[in-house]
Amino acid sequence: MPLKLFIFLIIFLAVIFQVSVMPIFFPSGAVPDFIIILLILFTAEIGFARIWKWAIFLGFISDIIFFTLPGTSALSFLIIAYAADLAAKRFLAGQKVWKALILALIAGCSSIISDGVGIILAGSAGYFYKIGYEANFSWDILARSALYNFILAVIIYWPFKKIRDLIISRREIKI
Amino acid sequence: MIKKNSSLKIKIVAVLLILLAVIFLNLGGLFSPIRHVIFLAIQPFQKTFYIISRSVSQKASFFSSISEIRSENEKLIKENNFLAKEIAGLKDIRKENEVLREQLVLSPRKEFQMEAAFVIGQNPEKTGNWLLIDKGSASGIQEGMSVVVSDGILVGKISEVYYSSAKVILLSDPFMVVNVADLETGARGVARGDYGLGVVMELVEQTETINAGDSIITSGLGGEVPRGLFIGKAQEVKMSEDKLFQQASISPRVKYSKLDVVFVIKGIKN
Repeated sequence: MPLKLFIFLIIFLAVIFQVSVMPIFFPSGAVPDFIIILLILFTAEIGFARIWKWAIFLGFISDIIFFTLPGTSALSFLIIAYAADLAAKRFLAGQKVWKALILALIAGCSSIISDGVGIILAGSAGYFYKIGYEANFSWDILARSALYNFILAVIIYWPFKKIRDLIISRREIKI
Repeated sequence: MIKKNSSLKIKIVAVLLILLAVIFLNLGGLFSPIRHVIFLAIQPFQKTFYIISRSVSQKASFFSSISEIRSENEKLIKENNFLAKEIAGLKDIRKENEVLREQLVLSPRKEFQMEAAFVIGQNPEKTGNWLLIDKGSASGIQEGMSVVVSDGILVGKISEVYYSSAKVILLSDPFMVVNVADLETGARGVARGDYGLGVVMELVEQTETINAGDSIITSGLGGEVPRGLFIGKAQEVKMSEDKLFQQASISPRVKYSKLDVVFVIKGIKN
């Protein structure tokens, strides 16, 4: 299967999973960001230089399907990918045992970045033309969201690693 | 290598500026046709994913609720005894009056022309509260139509329509406002979503009476939402911050995250 088609499918499936599966199992406002966790895992693997275009595309698709202000998720995903790349280069070098936990910690922090960017942009944009994008900000929800992201990242890491090792061993994908 | 990094940095800065322009120039309207196409393509997948997930969630919640059954059973027995005493104490005329008022004011379900729809998605973000349903313009759904569950309980309104799906903005969304009235006292106000935490009845004049436990229904004012749809029971009643009006928190009868099937009111039957 052509590589780009494969990535398109992953992106669409991830977004559908985020909107049609995750809210069922988690309370409103504290749904883990499955797509952000995937973005961080891919960024840690292949680096920001190769992932940034896909981060923007993923962000726009998310904005379209989640009915958020177009461009907001694209911008926050770009920032998250950049921050994840910096953090991965700094903390993951040579790590094997603690890699999953460090990535999970990055995922937990990413929810704070994502919410922060969304609130700042929406607040600014709302001022200019009252788009009415008022987020329900709460430290409790933010903390729970970060915790759920952390836990989900730990859970997702090992299947992701298995799939990555399988793909590398078959040398089918070279992003 | 240095040239490559500089080139990448320039590209990133350019992209950042473009993204900020898209956000602040509010070019969201450009994405509308793309949204239509995307929703048309992903709707079958959303429906499948959602139905499977709900099924798994229901089975999981059954096992987790076993431990709560005993305490809930004790609570229900106590409540039952209390209610039995209350019924015995009611006067016949007062009871008959309540039943007659309810029949006159609450709209029976068979009056409406309704379209059943499955819920296929929910808001995973922290902004706003909405659902996605699997019916759209192809089924005659239009913006502004009211959405209820089977007992005539209002859950929201259609805010965006696509060919085979539609977005329902829930009562708990901060931008959802409905004209309502107190079933028992006739007090009028507006119900506004409280950022996903519930619903608040506001702008109730100080001369009006509203009591905790009263049933709140739609008043039909404005013509957008039919009269007589149930919203919930009034909880705490207090003065608004500016001390000019009363307000009451409303406890909705349905849990929006557990909805599977909803009904869109398309019109009134002849």
